[in-house]
Amino acid sequence: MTATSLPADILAPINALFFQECDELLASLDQGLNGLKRGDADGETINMIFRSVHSIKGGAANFDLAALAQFAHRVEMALSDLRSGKISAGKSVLDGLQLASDSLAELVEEARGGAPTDVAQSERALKALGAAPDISEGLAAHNLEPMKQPDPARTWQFRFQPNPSLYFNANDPIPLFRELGRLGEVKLHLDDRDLPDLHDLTPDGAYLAWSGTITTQRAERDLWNVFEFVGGDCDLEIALVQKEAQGDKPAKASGEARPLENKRVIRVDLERVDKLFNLVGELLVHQTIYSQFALRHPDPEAMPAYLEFERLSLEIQEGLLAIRSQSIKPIFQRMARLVRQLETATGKTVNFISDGEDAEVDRSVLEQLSEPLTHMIRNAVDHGLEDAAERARLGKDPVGTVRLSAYHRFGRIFLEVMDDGRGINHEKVRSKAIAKGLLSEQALPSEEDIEALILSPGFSTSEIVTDISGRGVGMDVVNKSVRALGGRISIDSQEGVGTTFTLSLPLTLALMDGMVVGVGESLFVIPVAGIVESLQAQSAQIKAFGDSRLLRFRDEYLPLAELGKLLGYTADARLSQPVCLVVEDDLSNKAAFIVDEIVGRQQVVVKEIEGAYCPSHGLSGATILGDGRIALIVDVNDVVEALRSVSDLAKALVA
Amino acid sequence: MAMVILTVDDSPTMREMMLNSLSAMGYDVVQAIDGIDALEKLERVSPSVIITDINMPRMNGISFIDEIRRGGPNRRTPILVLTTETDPLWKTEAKRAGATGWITKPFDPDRLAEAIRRVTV
Repeated sequence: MTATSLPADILAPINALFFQECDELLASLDQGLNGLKRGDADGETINMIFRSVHSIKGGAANFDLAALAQFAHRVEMALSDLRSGKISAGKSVLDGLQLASDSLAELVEEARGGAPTDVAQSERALKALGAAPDISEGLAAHNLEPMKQPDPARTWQFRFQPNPSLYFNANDPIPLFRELGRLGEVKLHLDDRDLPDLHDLTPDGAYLAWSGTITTQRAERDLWNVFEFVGGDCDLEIALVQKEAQGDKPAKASGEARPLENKRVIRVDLERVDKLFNLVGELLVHQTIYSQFALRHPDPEAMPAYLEFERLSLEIQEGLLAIRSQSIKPIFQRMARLVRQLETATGKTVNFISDGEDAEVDRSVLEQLSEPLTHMIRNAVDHGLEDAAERARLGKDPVGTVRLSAYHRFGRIFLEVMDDGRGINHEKVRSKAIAKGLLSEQALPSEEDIEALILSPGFSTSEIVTDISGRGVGMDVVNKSVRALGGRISIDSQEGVGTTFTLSLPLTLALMDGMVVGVGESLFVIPVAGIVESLQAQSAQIKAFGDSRLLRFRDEYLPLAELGKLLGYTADARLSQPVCLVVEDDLSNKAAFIVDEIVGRQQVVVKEIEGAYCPSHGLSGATILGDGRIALIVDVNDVVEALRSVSDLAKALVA
Repeated sequence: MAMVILTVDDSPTMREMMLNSLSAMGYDVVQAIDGIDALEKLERVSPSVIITDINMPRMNGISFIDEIRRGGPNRRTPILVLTTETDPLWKTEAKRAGATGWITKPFDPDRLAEAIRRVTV
């Protein structure tokens, strides 16, 4: 439907509006032309000219002004060559454009009811522009998009890699890109990585690929259509660049600058990656063994090669971790859903902001993020934020804000849950701690103490056990599980202003820095993070109480046990001057155990133990060492827990 | 110098229509009535684009394309197949022989111009 099918009384003002617009467009066309004459042949100037002519064309088609529309159309076609750089803005082209501009103005006048246009002049103008003669009688309707609301321009990214057959059939990428350029603004990037040396190059080969973006209002079909002739002769990907989510963060990742190479994806069976990962683990083990050897027998000739070997080993490990790493986006999306559910459940309105959802972590960590985050978000919405009435009373925005952010730092992933709620009431924490016997009446806990109290077992400050957070699981439980993963939680809170919980985790749980120890015939790995000290105990340091033994370590007595016996492996540990490892659990409870020997420290690949071996026996996993032997990984928390009764005895001894 | 286009079609009407359209677009046109005729013409001219029908006597379009792609100075000349066959098998067949693109009849000058643009640098 064109505008002319409208009743005259409605049409008249729209018509007037169109001519008014034409005047403006002709003015900006002039402005653009003057710019060109001054030498401003930049994209923006040419675009201004192009847009003016295009808009006149669209409007004219809408009002059934065929002569004007057709002329504008042909000028536009010529301009697209100028825009694509096929022709440059030389004198004859400039003169042609000036003539064309004048003719356009005359045609507009004519359409308005003025004098007829000098047709010869307009043809001269087009000829000067090198425009195709008018072969488009009646100009097919689809070429003149009526001036309906234009679709918003979208940006697509594409990658185009011709096969040799494309060239064999005499197709050429250049005209295809030129055609693409007629549909919108194209940014092109040549990928010549596969281009061989000249003597390896065969004339029939296809070595180049292109990637880029196009911003256009046209439909996806139109983009594919450009490549219609080369279907089957190339690898072609066209994908919509995701719109940046609305929000206050800058649109940094809005596609167009993003190298498309990253977008090429292959699917790989996870098993294969894990297998490779195990091999890399072994590689690292050998690298460690070799490094110890290299240190003992320094050889200046071998050293450069060794250093290169070390560097490569680490790079392979990092590369593989990057392959296994996954975006945390799904978890962020889950958290957004959780907030919506919490809004319903609590009746609070929450402004949920998330930030950094593009961060990636190893698969193993990803699986562990959900639970602590869920808890932290629940806490923030349920306990942190006041209800709307209270916020209003306090002069705060009735809508509370919860911000979830993720970022990488120090080789770890940090996740922050910030709320602008009531903050942690120190006095409430203190009195509760006193009531629970954790603090004396007189105690004046510091900021740090408060944090430690909140994270300590069995502590929950929520006065009302709500349906949401109060499920008997407090921050302490979250803290325990996070620490078991080598993670940390810290709290930063200001009363009345808000609370920030920060969770940090290693980027991978699949690798661990471990101390390999020997007990009898077996090997065990103890996480270095849990080791306080290793020492050779003098008999004076060891006290025996019945079946139990204690080790005097600095100012305290620690429960001491033979690791082999503790884990159910019978082994006769050397009891005179035994090698002892002092370990510490997540809550800083210490214990010591006796091993036969310390083999060495190395990076190990953590494998889960399945089936018969129950992890609650003090083991958290297993690993395969360089010589193919299996070593079991000791769960320090469990071991310390197992020695708890002895631990109490030890405390009693000190007291 | 204007680009030269070789049209290969056994129908005088089609040849005339293409001549008019292509001339109007500013191209120089050389005409051939079938594959054999076209191969002879190609000994004297080196067109920028060849536009050929498929169903022709003596030598059809597919054999003609085969012959050109086999070697010689025109083996990398873009060839557009002009056909009424809407059957995709014809396109596949033409492509396999080495056609660069196609134009489907009935004849639309805009589509013709677009197809030529797509295959010429």
